[in-house]
Amino acid sequence: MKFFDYSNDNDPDNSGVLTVLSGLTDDDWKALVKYAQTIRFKQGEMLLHAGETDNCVYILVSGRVEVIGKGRFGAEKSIAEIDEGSVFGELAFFDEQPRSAGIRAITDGDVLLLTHTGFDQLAAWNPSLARLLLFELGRVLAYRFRRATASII
Amino acid sequence: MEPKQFPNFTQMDALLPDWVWNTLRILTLSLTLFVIYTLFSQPELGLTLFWKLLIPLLPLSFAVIPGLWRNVCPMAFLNQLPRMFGKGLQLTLPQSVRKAALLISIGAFIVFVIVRVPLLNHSGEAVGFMLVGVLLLAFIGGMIFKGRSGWCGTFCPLAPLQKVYGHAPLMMVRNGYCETCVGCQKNCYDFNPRAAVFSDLDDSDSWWSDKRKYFAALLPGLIIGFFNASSPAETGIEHYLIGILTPPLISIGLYFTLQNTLRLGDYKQTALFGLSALGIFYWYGTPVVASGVEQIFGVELPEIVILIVRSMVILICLAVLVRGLISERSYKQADQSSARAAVSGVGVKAMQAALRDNEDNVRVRETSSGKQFDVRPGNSLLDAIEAAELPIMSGCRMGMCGSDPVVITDGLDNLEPPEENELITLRRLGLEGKARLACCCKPKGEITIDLEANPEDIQLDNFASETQEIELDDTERFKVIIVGNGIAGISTAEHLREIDAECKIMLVSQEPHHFYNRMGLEKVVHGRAAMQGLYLMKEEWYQRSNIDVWLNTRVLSINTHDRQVELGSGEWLDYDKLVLATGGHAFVPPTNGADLEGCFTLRDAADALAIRAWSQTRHCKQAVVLGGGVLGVEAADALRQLGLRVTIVNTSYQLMNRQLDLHGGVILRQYLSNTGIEVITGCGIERIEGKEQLDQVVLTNGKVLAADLLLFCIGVRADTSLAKEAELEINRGVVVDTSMRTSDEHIYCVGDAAELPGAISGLWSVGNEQGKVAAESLLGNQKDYIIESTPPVQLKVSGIDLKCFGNIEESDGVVVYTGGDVEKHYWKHLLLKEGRPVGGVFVNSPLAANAAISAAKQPEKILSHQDIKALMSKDKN
Repeated sequence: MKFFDYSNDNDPDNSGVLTVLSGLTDDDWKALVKYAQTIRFKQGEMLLHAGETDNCVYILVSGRVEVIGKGRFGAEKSIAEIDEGSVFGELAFFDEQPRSAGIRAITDGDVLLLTHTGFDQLAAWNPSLARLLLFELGRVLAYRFRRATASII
Repeated sequence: MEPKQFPNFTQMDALLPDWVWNTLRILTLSLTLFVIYTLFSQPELGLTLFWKLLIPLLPLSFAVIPGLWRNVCPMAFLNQLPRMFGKGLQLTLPQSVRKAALLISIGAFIVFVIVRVPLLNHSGEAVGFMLVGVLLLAFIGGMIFKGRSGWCGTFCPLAPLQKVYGHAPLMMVRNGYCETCVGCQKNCYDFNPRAAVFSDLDDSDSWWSDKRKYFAALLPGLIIGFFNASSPAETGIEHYLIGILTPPLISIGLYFTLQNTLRLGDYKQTALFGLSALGIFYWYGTPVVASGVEQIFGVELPEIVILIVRSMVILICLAVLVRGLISERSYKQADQSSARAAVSGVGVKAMQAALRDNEDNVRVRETSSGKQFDVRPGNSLLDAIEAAELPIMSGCRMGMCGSDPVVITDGLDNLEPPEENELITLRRLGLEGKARLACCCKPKGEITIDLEANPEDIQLDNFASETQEIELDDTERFKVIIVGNGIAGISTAEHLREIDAECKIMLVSQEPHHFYNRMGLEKVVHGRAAMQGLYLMKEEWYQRSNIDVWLNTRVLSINTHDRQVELGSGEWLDYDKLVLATGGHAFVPPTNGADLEGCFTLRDAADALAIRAWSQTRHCKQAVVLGGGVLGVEAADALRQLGLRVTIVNTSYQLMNRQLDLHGGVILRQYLSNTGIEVITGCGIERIEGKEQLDQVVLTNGKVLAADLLLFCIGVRADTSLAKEAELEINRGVVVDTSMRTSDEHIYCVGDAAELPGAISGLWSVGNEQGKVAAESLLGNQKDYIIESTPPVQLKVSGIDLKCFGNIEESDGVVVYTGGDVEKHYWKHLLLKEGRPVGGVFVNSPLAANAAISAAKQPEKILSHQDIKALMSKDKN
């Protein structure tokens, strides 16, 4: 809820902030799904590996995933968790660099995968929806950046 | 949202400087310690001081200015000490405990109230130990848990009371402990004091909101019970318990009765009960407090004081009620105005619902990448592989060119067996039974493919090796020379070899490449794989088919008398029959400046490679494509994908005007515009300006376009130079009869170079068919090329599914059906003559397009009214 938008939140209760495109209508979702791929994943499955060079963005439709980074001695370490309704992979979607971290499924679930080609087509057929999506991705990116900044200071 | 109504603590000003707060905190802690000391040393005085003077002050302060106590409370102070010094474990309170915390604190509060009369009211030691205990617990909570989640916002037994009495603070005090919020708890009372109650009551988790309602419901009863229960010393503990616990149960019953009758809403009802509790407390409590004051200060208070205090409390209750109603109204407004916050749960639901609607899709697994993706109804496997951005080449998308063979490792039963086009192509590639062409596969159920498997490596038991080395005396053999290595030339060679295993086939091509997919040239322009994957026939095929090849070799002249051709290398080759498959070249209109650097055509591999090289070395930004036909649109899309800003200039007012109807043209134009390709119609190019290299293009309408790349896509002219020099009959192309023979009986001409009245040129399927006819006729078998209506054309621009076929001009006896919605980007335009489809345009309507094209291929098929209705109602977007 907006009254409890804790600015440097790391409370899973507050993941509403990270929910994307919550204002979309059913028709908007149908349109978006047309340009995306859907993937059903199983608990424990790696959805992304660090260093991969694809640059799709993923919208988590259901289920829960964790971000996997490398710990001090190279061991795998869970850095954060991502809830349904939110996104991951947005960094590489924007900068086209290799994936910064891996993503592993904590539960079974579904994910929508949007490639650059898919996004271009969405933008061409439905520019307003694409614009909204970009802002939403930007919002999540800004939010995560702020949180990262707060954790450094 | 009105920020002043619900400021969070970061938006409030500090009431007092930090040092004052700290001094006050130390004072209250000292006072508490003094009270504890007194409780042990002079229990009588200590108990009076604590119960009759200090404790009764709290409820009123909670209602008026709750933040005051939350800032100076000794428990909070001890709880926050570790944090102020950067110590403590700072753990996150587990979700389950966090949810149960209010229940724990409510329980603790009720226990304290119950044991007060039997124990706490007269045992200084008990109260002293209780105080020491809670101070210690508060401190330990602060050592372990982060923020204020170890005590103040969770377990403190006073917390529920503060939330009920202080739900609408008349005055707010900035939370002085949290320098930065760590988000330690849900709907934090210290974070946003006025909004907390609404967020709690509105919580989607009813277990969370019910606890709050439950406490408000029981509190008035608990207070009545407390003040009216008989003394346990006189009537026994059972009577006492019944006396103190019955009123809260009645109170809860009353709460839920009112909830179901008055229907005031959760907020008004909890506010009513909370404030009633506050009033009741002071109604009964004021005389008690008065007696305490009299006892400690040795004064006698007049009756009127009690009346004044009671009235004041009632006024304060009313003030809080008004304050709360104002907040409630603002909250509702803010809540409605910010739909985002409220519908976040709905958003996820809508997304999940949209996904469920997608269940007509068919799943594909690709083993080499481990990826899986869906094929949508009406789409081909090729469309889906491209959408998933997996590596694949594409060409005609109709199963004729063979650029997209895919190995199906599982689920072959979910595919229809190959149709004629695909089967012929697979045979040509030697892949029958080993692979399928992705553009022809429309899976009905899950399949597994392997894009890295080489289908040629697959061994099939029932296929004999085709390679047969034939050793024959060259002088005895029937010699055929084919000039040109495009589809028409290759098709001739292929069919010749199929019919006659012995003749000598010589193929001369001026291009340095083996047979490649000319329809994939756009990919050479924008992709990074250059010619890789574009070759349709590997070198082995020429060897296996026993064809002698001269690549990168020109034919200089033909000696029709001696039946010889002269090669650029100086060799002379004899022929019995000669096939000219020299194709055509892109037409460049006579325009001033067309010879400047930066002006291109896109006809063969060399052009595609040169365009890419030019664009990269000159860092091109802007391109102009002259011509809005199929090739022009596809080339423009390729240049856009290369990163250029592209403008299409088209003389006609409509793109692809030979294939598209008005509506189809509008959708295509809109799509291109939205991808960033500008389309200018109804004008041509006046002149091209620049010094050595292209600078700008001046249009016939006077408009000037800056450009560093110009591409002519306005048509193909037959390449007739050899034929002309050999004095064959030439019109626009080399004139042939229906057996593809030219005016010289030993020379045949096929493909784009040939001119047969009524035949369409520039199409793959036409070249293929003409090669077949020429192969038969030159071996003496009678065969005629049958001119067919325009075969299906699919625009190869990703993101738009555009298929056309036949003739879309309306003539006598032609019935036109249209359907779709330009606004929704799909369109169907079907022309029927005597029940047979003779032409059509289908934009983003793949199912209808497939049905119409397949009906058009069946000469016997007459569509009934029902068939047409079914066809036109496919692909409802």
